[in-house]
Amino acid sequence: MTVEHYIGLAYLAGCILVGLLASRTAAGSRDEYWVAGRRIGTAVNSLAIMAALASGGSIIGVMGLTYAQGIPASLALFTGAIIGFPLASVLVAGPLRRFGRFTITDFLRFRYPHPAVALIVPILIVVSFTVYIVAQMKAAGITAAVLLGLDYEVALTLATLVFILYVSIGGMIAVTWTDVFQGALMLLVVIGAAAALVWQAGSPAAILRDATAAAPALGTLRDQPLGSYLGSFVIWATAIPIIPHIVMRVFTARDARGARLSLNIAMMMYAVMILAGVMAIAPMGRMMFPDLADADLVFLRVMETSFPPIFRGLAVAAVMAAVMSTTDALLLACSSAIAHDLLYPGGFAPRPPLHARSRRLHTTAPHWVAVAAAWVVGLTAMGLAYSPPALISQFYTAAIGLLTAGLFVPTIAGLWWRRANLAGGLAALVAGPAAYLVVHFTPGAPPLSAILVALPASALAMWAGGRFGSAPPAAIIARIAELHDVEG
Amino acid sequence: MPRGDRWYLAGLVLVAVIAFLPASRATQVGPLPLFGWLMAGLMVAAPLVALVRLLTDRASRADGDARR
Repeated sequence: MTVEHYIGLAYLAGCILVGLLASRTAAGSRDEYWVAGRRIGTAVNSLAIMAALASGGSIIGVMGLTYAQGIPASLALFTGAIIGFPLASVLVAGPLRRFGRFTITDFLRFRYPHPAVALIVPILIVVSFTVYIVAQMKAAGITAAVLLGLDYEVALTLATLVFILYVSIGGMIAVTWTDVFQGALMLLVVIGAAAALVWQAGSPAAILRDATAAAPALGTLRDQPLGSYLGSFVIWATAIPIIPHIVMRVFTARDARGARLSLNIAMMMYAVMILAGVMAIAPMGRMMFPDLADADLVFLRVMETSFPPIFRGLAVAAVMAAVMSTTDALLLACSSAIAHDLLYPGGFAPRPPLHARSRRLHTTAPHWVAVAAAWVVGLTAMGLAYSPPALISQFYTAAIGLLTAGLFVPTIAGLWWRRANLAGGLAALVAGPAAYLVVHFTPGAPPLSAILVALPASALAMWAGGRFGSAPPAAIIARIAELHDVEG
Repeated sequence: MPRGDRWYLAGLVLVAVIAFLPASRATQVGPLPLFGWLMAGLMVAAPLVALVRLLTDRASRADGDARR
């Protein structure tokens, strides 16, 4: 056992402990399990939001993408995510927090009341998030394999079992507190490593100058068509306002202003971390290791060769933290999509059985279904992750594109367009993903460009429904007006 | 939507459009194309401006107070 092993094990044990401590409170009510009682303060929520977004892709993936496709390609993809935060803050955070439910499905089901909406939205979430989770698991597996010397499969299984355990028993409370710790650890390691490398090189400009001189492709935009750059930018810019694991964090805030503040502070921290990786660590790695077979290994190779064992141990914990902090939030969102959105949309049934034992089983069933859903989704993703994809950032971005193609237009129109009606909402929800899948699987289509067709298709369907369908009920319009009324 | 929010969103879209123009992608400024610098600038400026606007906005402060 080395220092790295002890740090890694202590980290995993800490996560399980938080889950156990949170489980007593989380089992008490849906508010506690899904949105941590809606009492999370701005500072804690900011770190938790940053950690939820900053996945293995934001450490391993961003540097792998920079290594393989250059700095501009990475900036296009990750700037999109950062632009998504102000969009979320301005367009959805206030009204959705005032709506005061649990999930994005709750809002869409209210705005477009139809059984098909209640079915399509959770299915889209589960499918796209399972792919997202698989990519995160690859990051966890290769990190432990490279820095701890474990087998990929062993590391994958260990990390997966730990985060399924603490998410399933601790709910949003456990996710929040582990995310806060994990977010702080990520910032410390990535910014600390970048600062050390910059200090060695003299300045960030020196790293960029030397790296682009040694590998000119690092500073150019030649590798991919414009549609791919624009597509990756648009996917993330439009995903953040509707992506369920971020929206659930909006619901945990104490109030609408706290939700908006948290989103913007999280975005600042995320921007600094991404820039540290793209502008310092990845270019340095490109110079040190010009012939890596798997570009996603560049961060780990830099940590392995440039830093002492204790810092390597922290690097393992930081990547695990990045993976877990996103995967736990994704897993909770999947669990909510199955247990809350699909199976128990109304929570507890109004008329429980008379017999005491049956009544207890009846009222605790939704909680245990949520726990089981987390295990089913987590283990399925683990099975898929045994055959990992290449370039994880592009892999999960494509899956998120599918989700965005379906949910962005109905959500934004539902909040901001009075004529948005059931016909339009349903049409937009179907047309977006359908167009996305057709373009995505068309031979010759630039990677990630399908969103550039899917979003206009979804918007056109929404407009046609609103233009030719019947007006939405007055009660729904009145409720939406209330959500925009700051003084109300 | 408040007017300030509209201007803010319009500004973000404008910078993004400029960044993706062919000229921005073709113009090399030091080690990176102008596109890269605009993306990096947007990464820092977008949250900073949003945060300043939110902290100085009286309506949003009232919203927070009313909901506590």
